[in-house]
Amino acid sequence: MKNRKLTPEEMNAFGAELDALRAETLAKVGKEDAEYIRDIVQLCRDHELLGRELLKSDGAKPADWLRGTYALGIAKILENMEIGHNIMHGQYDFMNDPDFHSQTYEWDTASTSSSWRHSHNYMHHTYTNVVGKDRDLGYGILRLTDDEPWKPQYLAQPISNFMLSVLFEWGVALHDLEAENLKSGKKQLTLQELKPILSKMFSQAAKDYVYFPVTAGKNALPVLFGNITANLMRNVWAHAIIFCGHFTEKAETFTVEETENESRGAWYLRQLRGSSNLKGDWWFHILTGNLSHQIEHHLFPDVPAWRYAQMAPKVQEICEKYGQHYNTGSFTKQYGEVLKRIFRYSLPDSWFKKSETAALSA
Amino acid sequence: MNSTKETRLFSGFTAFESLLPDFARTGIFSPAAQKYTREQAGRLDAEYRPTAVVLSRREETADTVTLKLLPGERYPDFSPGQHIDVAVEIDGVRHVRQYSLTGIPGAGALEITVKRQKGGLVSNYLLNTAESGARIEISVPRGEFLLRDQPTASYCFFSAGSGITPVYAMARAVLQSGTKADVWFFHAARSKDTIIFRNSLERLAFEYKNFKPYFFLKEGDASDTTHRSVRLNYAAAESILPGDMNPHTTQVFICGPGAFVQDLEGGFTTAGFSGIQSEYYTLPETAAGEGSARFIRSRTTVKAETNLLEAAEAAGIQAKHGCRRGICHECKAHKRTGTVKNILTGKETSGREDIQLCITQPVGVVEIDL
Repeated sequence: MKNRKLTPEEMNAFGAELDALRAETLAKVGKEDAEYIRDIVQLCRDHELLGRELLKSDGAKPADWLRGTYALGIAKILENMEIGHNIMHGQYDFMNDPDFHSQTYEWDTASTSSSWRHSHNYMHHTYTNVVGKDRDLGYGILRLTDDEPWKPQYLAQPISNFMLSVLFEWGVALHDLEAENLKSGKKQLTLQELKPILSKMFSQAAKDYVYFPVTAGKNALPVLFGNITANLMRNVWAHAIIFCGHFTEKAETFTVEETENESRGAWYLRQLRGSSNLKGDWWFHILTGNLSHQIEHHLFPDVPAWRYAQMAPKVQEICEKYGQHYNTGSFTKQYGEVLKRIFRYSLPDSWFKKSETAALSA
Repeated sequence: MNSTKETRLFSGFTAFESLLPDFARTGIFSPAAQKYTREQAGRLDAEYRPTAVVLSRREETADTVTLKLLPGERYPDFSPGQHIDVAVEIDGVRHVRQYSLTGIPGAGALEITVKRQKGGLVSNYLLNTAESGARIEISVPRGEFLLRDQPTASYCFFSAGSGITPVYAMARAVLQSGTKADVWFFHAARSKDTIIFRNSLERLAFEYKNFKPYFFLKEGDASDTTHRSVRLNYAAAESILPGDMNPHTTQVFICGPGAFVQDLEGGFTTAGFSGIQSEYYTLPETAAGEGSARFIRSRTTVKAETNLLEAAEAAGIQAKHGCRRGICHECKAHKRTGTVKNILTGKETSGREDIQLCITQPVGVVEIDL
């Protein structure tokens, strides 16, 4: 469905309706949300303890190693997606509980809470899909739009994407350092900035690859491989879900000029157009940290994520009313489009000029 | 009462967690709450969010109840003057309040004396739900409002209303230690019936000749000499206290609302006394500041007339906070640049430092990592 161009009045009305939905939902936030996040933390805790305990005591037996690794992987996925990411957005700050507060939560992954809150909460959510400002567009190593001129290095893109997927937590950890800007000289690196990042990377490696194996006694190796695999599970899963959120075929990018003096309605519109959802069951939504509702998340980042599923029908209604496309699909469909996009932009534009101009004028 | 759940699969969660080295405490084992518990208890196996069982209730006055609490086995001892944080969850929001320990150290059970505040969320919740057998979340004993171990000829305790709780514990401890020092006890209350621990104080006066209690009542009886109907302030205290008290052998303790503490503290300081210990129940009135704060992460700049915590909240930041009067350190945040003034001490500090937002006012522009 092609997006209808909105008049300024329609734009304001569009923004107002979404504002109203947000206010209505925030008014309900309270006990239910506190109980929900505690339940999820308990689920995560149970999985982590079960997983680590199984690996430690019975990791030498293949069946138990698989069970233990799987449980630990699920725990890490839950912690990364539904717990950590949402807590750091401040969704549970209202509880005033240090266990769930964005100021004190330090997630179980190589990147620091502090640098994440800068690169993600601020940079990515403010400049969503704005070329040159949203560094999530390609993470500085992938070419995903034709705004970026083609270079031969992008031919290796499918491989670098695979590496990014496998080592995702390390890529994210270094993301805020802005490697591509360091190379071009646009940014200077200070020890003050580097120290906490290196420290967290080091201690996360020490936690899963030294401490737990060493304290496991005879099952040190199964524990080590189990932890490596669990982290791998989380990396690959997070990478896939996150890429589905912004790199499907119809996800749009924007220029800096377009976003100048952006009204509230226009901001909402950019968030909508730059995001895509994934269809699934309730357990799928939890495992994706509700990033299956990437659209709702980008419209309302400070609303507790479990409420996005409730808000989605209303959001779809509003989109239809204003003639805007609501991008959603199954995981296979959306991820297929992401892979297609990675392959497409790894190749020079000239290969596609003819068919694309034909498509545009259709 | 509380919804802090214990894991279903492993009740050994505390065992697993307590063995984790600091660097491994990430994710759901985030250092946040654990850190201060360990620091305060000074032990590696300090319980995470200790709880205590309510043993009994005792009515002190019409609106004040003493709760007797039994903490866990490894709960540390406390010193008179210290308090505990009591945390309750109401409608999903965690509320923490400080209550002075009014029992006798080493007795095994703890005692806190809770006054029902009009419109008070936690005091009413506590008094309405704390029955024998109920479990409440407490902290280890905290606080620097302490008796000093030094040669003392006179102790002066000042309190207003529920501010009596810490000084009562301290005065009793001092008397029971067998000291020959004078123990002056000045207390302001609304009326005779609202004096918390009135009977105990009368017994102490009977038993210990060096105990000198004086009460200052709003609704007093003009004929009663020990219960005056004047305001308790430095002038009133000065008129009673001997003029030859040696500042070096006098310990002064003041506990109550901001203005009350400020007046007495000011009076004693001018009279040459130092090392006065004060516990503010409410923040004192301060002149409206003219500084402003730039909150770096939120990209907002606001004027900060009262204190930085209120400034952050005005900027839409749901900053972590606790007692809002400088005691619990929950609102501690990182200041990158600029000068701030501590509302309680008047001291100014500059540069990169951690500050308690609720008791600091910016001087000029400050940059805060929030």
